Amino acid sequence: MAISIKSIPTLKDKTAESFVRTISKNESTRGSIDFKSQFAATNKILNKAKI
Amino acid sequence: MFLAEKCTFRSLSVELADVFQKFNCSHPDLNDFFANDSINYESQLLGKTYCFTLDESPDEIVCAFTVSNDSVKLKNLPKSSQRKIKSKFPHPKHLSHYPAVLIGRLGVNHKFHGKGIGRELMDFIKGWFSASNNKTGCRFIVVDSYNESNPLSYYQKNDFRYFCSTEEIEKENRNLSPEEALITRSLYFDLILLQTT
Repeated sequence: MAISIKSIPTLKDKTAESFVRTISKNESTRGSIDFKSQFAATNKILNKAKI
Repeated sequence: MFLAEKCTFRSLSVELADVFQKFNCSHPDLNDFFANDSINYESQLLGKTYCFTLDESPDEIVCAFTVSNDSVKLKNLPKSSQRKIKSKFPHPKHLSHYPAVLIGRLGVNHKFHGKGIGRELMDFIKGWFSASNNKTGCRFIVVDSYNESNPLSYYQKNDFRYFCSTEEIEKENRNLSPEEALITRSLYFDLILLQTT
């Protein structure tokens, strides 16, 4: 049997603080990765998908 | 774009279960999961498996992944950080939980290694949970990766970051003793960084 899928552990103390610092910074650089062509490819795949 | 042009995206089905028996990612645990466990996760509603099959040979799986709902949970956050979050998210729930999708497994058929399929697959997953495709509100893609150089390098190349800067800190967060082996490492990608329009 394969290793079971595990949830992400709860972040505590300094790890939690560092995470909040990083995502707060990300909010100020929202949309900084140009993902338009990849997003278009995703939608093309979904239009053809059998799900 | 190989996946968009030469493949079809499908969810795991009874018909595909046999095809998954032949799916070989050159990783014994991954192969075992897709061949034997993925259908059980599916039936228990614990993980949903998807794949890309080759259009010219629909019995050939090019790559596959399993996803489930998860969240990033925070505990014992210092008051200054709590205030920082509260100023952005007035709802108190956001003090402790952020919605996320967990990649439980991800693999590329060994015949297609070295062709950029892994990158395309990750871009697809990011796009699937971004902008108008983000159906339920999902801020992060998270993964509990094998603690091995190839998968860790793959996620880092795809702009994932470690939650914990060192293995020692991750062991503390997982309540493992320093002597215990760290089999997996947790990483995340923040979907807010993507510009889709």
